[in-house]
Amino acid sequence: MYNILICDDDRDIVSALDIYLTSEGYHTILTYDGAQAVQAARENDIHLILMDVMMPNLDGIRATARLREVSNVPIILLTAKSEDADKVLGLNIGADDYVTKPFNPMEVMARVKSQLRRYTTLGGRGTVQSEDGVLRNGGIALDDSAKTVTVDGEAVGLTPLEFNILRLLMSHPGQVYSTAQIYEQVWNDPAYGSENTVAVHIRHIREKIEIDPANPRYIKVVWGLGYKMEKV
Amino acid sequence: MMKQDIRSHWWFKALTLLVTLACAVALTFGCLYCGLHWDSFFGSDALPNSLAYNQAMNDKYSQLMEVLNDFDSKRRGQSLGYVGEQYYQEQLAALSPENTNFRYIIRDNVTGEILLSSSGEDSLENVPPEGLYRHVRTISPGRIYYGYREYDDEKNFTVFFDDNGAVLAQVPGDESILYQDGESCQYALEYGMDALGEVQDALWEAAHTYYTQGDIRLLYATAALALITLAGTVLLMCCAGRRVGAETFTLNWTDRIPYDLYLFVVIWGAVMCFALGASLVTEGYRFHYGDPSFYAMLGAAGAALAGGFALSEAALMSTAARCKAHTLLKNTLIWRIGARCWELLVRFLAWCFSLVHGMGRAVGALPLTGRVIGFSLAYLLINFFLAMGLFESYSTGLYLLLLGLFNGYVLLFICRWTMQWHTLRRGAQAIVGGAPDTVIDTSEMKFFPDLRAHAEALNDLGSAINTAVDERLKSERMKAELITNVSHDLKTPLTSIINYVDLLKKEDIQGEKAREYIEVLDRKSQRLKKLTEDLVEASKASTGALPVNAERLGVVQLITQALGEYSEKFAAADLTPVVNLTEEEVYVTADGRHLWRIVDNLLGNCVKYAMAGTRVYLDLVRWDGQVTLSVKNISAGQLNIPAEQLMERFVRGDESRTTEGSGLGLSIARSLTELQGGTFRLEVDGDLFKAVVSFPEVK
Repeated sequence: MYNILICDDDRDIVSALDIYLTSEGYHTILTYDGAQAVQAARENDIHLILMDVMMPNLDGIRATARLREVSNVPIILLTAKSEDADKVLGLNIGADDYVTKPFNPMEVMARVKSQLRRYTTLGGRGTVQSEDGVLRNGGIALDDSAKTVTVDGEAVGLTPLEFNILRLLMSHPGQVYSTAQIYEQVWNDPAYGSENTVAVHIRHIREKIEIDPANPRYIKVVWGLGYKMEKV
Repeated sequence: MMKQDIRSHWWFKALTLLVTLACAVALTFGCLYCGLHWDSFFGSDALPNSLAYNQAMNDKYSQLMEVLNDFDSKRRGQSLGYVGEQYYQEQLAALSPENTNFRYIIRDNVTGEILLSSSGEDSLENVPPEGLYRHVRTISPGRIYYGYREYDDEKNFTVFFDDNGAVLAQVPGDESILYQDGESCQYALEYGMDALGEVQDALWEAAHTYYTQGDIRLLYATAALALITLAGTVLLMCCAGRRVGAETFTLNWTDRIPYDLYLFVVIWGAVMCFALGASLVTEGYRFHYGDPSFYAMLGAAGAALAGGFALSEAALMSTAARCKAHTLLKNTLIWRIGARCWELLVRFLAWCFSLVHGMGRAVGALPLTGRVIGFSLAYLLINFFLAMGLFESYSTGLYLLLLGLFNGYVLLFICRWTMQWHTLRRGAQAIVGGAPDTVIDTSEMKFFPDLRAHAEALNDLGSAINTAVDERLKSERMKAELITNVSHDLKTPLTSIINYVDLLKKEDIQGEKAREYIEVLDRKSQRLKKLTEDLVEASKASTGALPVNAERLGVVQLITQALGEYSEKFAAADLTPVVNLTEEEVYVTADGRHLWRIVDNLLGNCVKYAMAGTRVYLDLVRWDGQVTLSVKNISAGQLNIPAEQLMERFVRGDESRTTEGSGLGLSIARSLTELQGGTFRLEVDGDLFKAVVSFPEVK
């Protein structure tokens, strides 16, 4: 039983989120501005906060900053702004994730689950633990010996080629691999214009491990240069 | 404003004038006197050094020498003859104390015996010193030799030479006279003046003059006169132009005579008067000294001088009055003549200018061709006449110079015209080339009215374009802002719509129709979401409000990635991509996300609008420093819209708008391409749709 704090000045959105989260079995606390949210977070044992950015009294960014002074509870920002600068500001101030309005309810649910898993079962800190033959990045854990991949604790079924591509990318998080490099290293063949298949495989991997494949969190496309595993 | 005081009264002026004139005349005579007796004031420290005394003493000494000569002759036994004896006695009588204050004693130089004496005293030294001026000489009359002599001041002797240069004698001391036989001087002379003597002879007069007329006070008096005269003159000049009852400085009739004429007459008159006075004085001194007529002449001279001074004072007063009334320069013949000449010159210049201006206007009114023909004919004619002159006249050089000057001037004119025309052309090019705020400098086009009119028209056009462009940019920006704000406000309610539609879908709703309606709601709300997102993007891209993080990108890599993203969508739409990339990687400078968005939109277009079962051609070509990507497909619907219009916002190939898509894809693609310095082009040939994106290649 997790307590989730919802905060938005639009009551219809709050109640819609309330319906979704209650139906999933979470206990919800509803607030309608930043000050209320901070107050409620102090009084209750909260496991996750969903918070709008543009609100009266105390906006989401300031509220996040205040909450971070006392708690490291996961915070997901809901924002109508889609500019990169706003996202960066939100994440820098201490938010863990963001969803842009108008959002898909399923996506919000997936993100809520992901954050809760990491906060409760994986220790609350996205640390990279290096065990024998296990590569970790964020919620992804790749066990080379067992040939298994888990995302936030849930097992993901990958084909051998997909597994090898993911292993290559995870072995050097942050490094950009061009399609030709990936092809040469995974297929062990010189690339002669067949890199096309690499891109298709990568998309498949993304669809399996990302919550929103069009807006990937782990495997980022660096357009015109290649792909990389984002360090989380 | 003039101060009213005593200086305005005529009697004061007259009095001052009279005093000044008197002083001036007195000053003149005083100066004359002082000049004549200058020695008496400063030339001597004692009577014996004064000029008059020396002259008188010399006269007496000469007389004494004559007496001594005769005495010497008689002593040697020579007869003087009757006349000589008479003259000797007369001279002797003239030198007697009854007739003169001159005293003398002649002694034999060897024996000391007194031979001749004026008063019987045996020495003049007995006379009280303050009463006598005594001179002593030794002399040997009649046998002296004045020759060539040379004095050696080291050995202190004098050498005498004869006419042939032979040495005659060497005498000790500095001697000027060599006595012929070398014997010592025969006579010792002692003479002088008895200053207490009562006889009024020349000596007495010299002494008298020295003691009475050489009084230094006379000099001071003269100086005082000079000061008074100067002061009077200054006072008179101050009085000039003032009149009782007059508010300002007034001029009398003499002051109105032209100054130069007035000065000429007055100076001439004054010079005449002074000349008359001077001649009267000199005449009087020379011929009438001592007569009563002498004083009459002096009086006449004084009157003449007074006249001259009066004229001078009048001239000074008039000058002062003119200065005060500011008419000194203006009231002159030269000024009047000059002013008249200047007026005539100005009128003449104005006439010349109006003539030239009129001609210019007449020429300007002619049609352009007429003007060109006229100028050419004039040019040829002038050249023709100059050439004729060159062959016919004697002054060939002059005509050659004129010919050169004329043609040089014409060439210079044409060059300047050409340069101004060039300026004009550059300005026009700048305006056309995207700098409508260019202002063509017309300051140099003063002499080319046609060019200037054209330049001004171009400047007006440029500023009009500038204003229009500014206005349009401003309105575009405002539109983009409006769209961003509106879509932002749309997003919040849209979130609720999407969420509740989703919740509705989960409700167990009975009835086929209700579920169908919910499905429509779901689809349309998703489309609305896409529309708002695209709208914001399109407005930002078209106004350039998007940040561009340009870097070097591989286009082949990017297209490969894009094809990977689209492989399943193509398969779903039953399209076969035919990809034709370059062998090696080609690079451009662009923002990867924007470039992806362009390719995304083009491929998305294919998926949405291409006819199922056809092929989609992707070609990447390097040509002429450009990297060109073309996407070709066969449209499912009929493309009855021109290619240009397809890129407009909200225009889609199908007019019914039943298919998904916002109609902003191509517009966004074009805006993003242009934002990053590329070109975007669409071609429609029947059902063949072709999009071409070009970027400059980088190595």
